[in-house]
Amino acid sequence: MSFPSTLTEAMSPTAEPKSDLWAKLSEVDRSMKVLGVFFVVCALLWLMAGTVFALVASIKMHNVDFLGDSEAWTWGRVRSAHLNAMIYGWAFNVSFAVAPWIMARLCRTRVRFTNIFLFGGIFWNIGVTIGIYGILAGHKVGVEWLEFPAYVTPVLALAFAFIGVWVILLFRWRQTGHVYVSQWYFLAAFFWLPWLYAMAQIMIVHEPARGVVQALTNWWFAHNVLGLWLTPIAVGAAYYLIPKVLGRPIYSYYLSVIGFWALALFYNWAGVHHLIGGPVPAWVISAGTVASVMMVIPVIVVAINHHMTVVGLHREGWASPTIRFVVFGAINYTAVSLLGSAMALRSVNEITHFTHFTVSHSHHGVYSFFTMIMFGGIYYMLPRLLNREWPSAMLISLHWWTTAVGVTLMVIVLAIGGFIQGMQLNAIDPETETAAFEFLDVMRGTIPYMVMRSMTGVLITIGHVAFFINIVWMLFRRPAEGSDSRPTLLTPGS
Amino acid sequence: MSDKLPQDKKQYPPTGEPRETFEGHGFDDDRLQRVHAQLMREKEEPSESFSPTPLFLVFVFMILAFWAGVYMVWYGGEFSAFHYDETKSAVVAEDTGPREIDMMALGRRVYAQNCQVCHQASGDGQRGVYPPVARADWVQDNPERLIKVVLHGLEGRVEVNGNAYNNAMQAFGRLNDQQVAAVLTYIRTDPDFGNDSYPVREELVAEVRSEYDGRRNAWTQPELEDIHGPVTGEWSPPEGEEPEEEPDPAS
Amino acid sequence: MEFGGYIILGAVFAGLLFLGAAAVLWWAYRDGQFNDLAAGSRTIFDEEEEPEGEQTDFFPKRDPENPEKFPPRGE
Repeated sequence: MSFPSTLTEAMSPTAEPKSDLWAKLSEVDRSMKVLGVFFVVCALLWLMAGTVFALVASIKMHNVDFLGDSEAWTWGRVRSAHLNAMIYGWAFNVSFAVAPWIMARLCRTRVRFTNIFLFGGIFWNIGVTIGIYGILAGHKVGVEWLEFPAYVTPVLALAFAFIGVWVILLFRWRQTGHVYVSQWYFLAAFFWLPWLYAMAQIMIVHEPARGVVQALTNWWFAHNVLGLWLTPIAVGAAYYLIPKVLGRPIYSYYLSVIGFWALALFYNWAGVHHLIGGPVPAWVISAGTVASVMMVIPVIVVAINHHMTVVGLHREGWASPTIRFVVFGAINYTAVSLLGSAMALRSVNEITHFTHFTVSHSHHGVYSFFTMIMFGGIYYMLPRLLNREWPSAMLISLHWWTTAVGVTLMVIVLAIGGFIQGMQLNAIDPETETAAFEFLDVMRGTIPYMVMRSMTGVLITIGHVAFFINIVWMLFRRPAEGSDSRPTLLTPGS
Repeated sequence: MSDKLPQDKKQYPPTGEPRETFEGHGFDDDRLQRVHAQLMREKEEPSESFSPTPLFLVFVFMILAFWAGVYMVWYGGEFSAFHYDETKSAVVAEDTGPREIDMMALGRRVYAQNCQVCHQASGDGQRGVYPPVARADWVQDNPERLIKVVLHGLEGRVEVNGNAYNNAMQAFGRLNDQQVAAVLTYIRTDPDFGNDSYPVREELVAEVRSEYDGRRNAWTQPELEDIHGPVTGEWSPPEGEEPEEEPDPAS
Repeated sequence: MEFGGYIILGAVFAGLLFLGAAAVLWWAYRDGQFNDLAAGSRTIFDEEEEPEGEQTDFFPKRDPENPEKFPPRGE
C-alpha cells in the first residue's frame, strides 16, 4: 500500500486512492497500539497518584494533624495536587487513549503520523508532572482548576495543540461518508478545549483581566472542562460502546443529533451559576441559570438513547465488563446532570454552595459518570489493541464492585452531610436574628461524614489497585498458547 | 481489497437508490445483506428512526423554553451591567437625599462600643475611678466642652457632681463628626441617664474639630474652665439656635 | 489589558466560534449527514468483524460456559 510520504500530502485525502487507506477494524486497532497503550499506562499511573493524594486530603479533613509536619503535604497543596492529577493526569490521558481510538475506528483508517500525537502526549505528561511538583512545592496559582504554576502551562497548551491537530487530521483521513455522533462529540471536544485553556490562561494568569472578570473566566473555564471536554468525550464513548457491545443500534439516532447541538448551544453558558450571590451583573447569572436548566434537553435526549438501547438486554450487558461500567456511567450522567440543573437554581444553590454537597456533585460527575465510562472504554479497548485477553475476571469484578459501591456511597454521604451543613449555615435564630449555629459547630458536625468519605475512598482505592494489577499483568504476561477465549478478541487464535 | 471499498459520500443523497446499504459491506452477496439489514431494522426498531422526536419531548422542550423566557424577564436585571440584585427593579429609586439617621440608635451603638467599658452601661461610672455620665453636671453643660473631651481626651484632677476623680480619658478623635454628635446627643437626652439637655449638632463637632486641628495632648479641667467657665450643669443654646424639635427619646 | 480590550477580543472569538459552529452545521446539512439517520446509526457495525446483533464483549473465560447464549463467532 502506498502511504503518503509527507504530512501535507496526507492532509488532502481526496488525492489518495481510498482502497489503500480503508482498513479493517483489527488493522485500525493494530495501528493504534502504541498510542493506546502509552496513554492508558500514563492515565493509570496518574490515577494511582491522584488516589494517594485524594486519600491524604480526605484523611486530613477529619485528622488535621495527619502528615501535618510536611509542608508539601499540607491540605491546601495536596488537595490541589489531587484535583490536577485526576483531571490533567488521569482524565486527559484516558481521553487521549479512548477517544482517538474510537475516532480511528469510526474513520476506518489506519492512523498515521502517530509521532505528532506521541510527541504531544509525552510533553503533556512532562508538563503535568512538573505542574504537580510545582503545586506541592508551593508555586501554585490560587485559582481552582488552574492551579498549575504559570511556568508550565505554555508547555501544556502547546502539547495539547499537537494532540488536537492530530485528532482533527485523523478526522480528515476518514474513509467513511457518514459522521457518527461520537465523532461529532470527539471532534468538538478536541476543538473546544484548546480555546478554553488558552483563554483561561491568558485572562487569569498571563495577562490577568481585572476584578470580577477573573472569577467569571475561572468558572466559565472550570465548568466547561467538565461540560465541553469530559462530557463529550464520555458521552461520545458511550454512544459508541453501548450499541457496539450489545450489537444493537442506538435507540433514536435523530435525537442524538439534537443532543449534540443542544450541548454545543447551552453548555458554554452554564458555568456562571458558580457565582450566584457574587458581585456579578444579575443578567449574567440569570443567563447561566437558564442555560444550566436548558441542559435538561440534551441530557434527556442522551438518557433516552443510552437507556433505551440497553432496555431488554440487561442480562447480556451484565456479562460484559464494558457495559457494566458504561451503563453505570450513563445512568449517573442522567442523575448528575439533572441534579446539576437543579443546583443552578438560585434557591437551591443558596443551600448547597460552599458545602460538601458541591464536592459530592463534582465526584458524581467526574467519577461516577466520566471515569466509569472510561474504565469501560479501557476494558473494551485494551484486549483489541494487544490482541490479548484480560487475565483475571475476578479482578474486573472486584474493580467494578468496589468502585461502583464506593463512589455511590461517597456521593450519598457527601450529599447528605453537605445538605445538613448548608441548612445549618443558613439557619437564622428567630430571637436574635443572627446565625443559629456557630461556624465551628457546623464544621464539627461534618466530621462524621468526612470519616465515612475516607472509608469509601479506601474502597475505591482497592478497586484502583485491582485495576492496576490487572493491566500490568495483562501487559507483561506471556499469553499461553490457545488459552485465551475469544469473545473479547477480534481475530481468534491470531 | 478493492471489493471492500467503502461507500463514499454518495451513499446518503436526499434522493437516491442505495438507502438500505451498510457501511463497510464485506459480503459478496449484496442482496442478502440488504435483506438482512432490512430485517434487522424492522425487528429491532419498529418506528423510532422515522418518527423523530417523541411528542412528550417536544412538550418538555417547549415548557423549558417558556420557563427560560419568563426567568430572564423576571431575573434578567433588565440586562444592565450595573444591576446586581435580580430581585429588585433596575430602575433606581428616586434620590431623596441623604438617609435620615436615627441619632439615638447610632449614639447607643457608639456608646456601647466605646464608652461603656469605663462609664458602664448604666452611665454611673465607677466611684473614685471613672466619673459618671448619668445625671452629671458636665454632661448637661456646654456641648463644646464635651466635644473637646471626646475628641482629645481629658486628664488630671476632675470634679464631677462634687466628687473628685484623678484619671486619664483617652482621645476618641477617630470617631467621625456624626458619631461624636450622636453619642453626645444620646447621653445628654436619653431618659435612662436622667440627663435632660439639648442634642448636639454634627456641624458643631466639625467646627470644634477644625478649630483644634492638630492638638495632641488631652484637656485638663482648668484649661476647659478658662474657655467655658466653671461647670454648672445648666446650659441652653444661644438665641436662634434652638433645635426645631426635641428628639423623641422613645425611638 | 484594559477592560474594553477584553470585550472586543471576547466578542471576536465568540463570533468566530459561533460562525464556525454555524458553518459546520450548514456543511453537515449540505453533505447529507442528516438524510438517512437510520443507516447512519448502523455505520459502527461491520459485518465481517463486529456485526450487528452480536455481543462483542464478555468477562474473560466466562462465555464458553454458556455456549448457547453466546455462540462462538465466525463459524
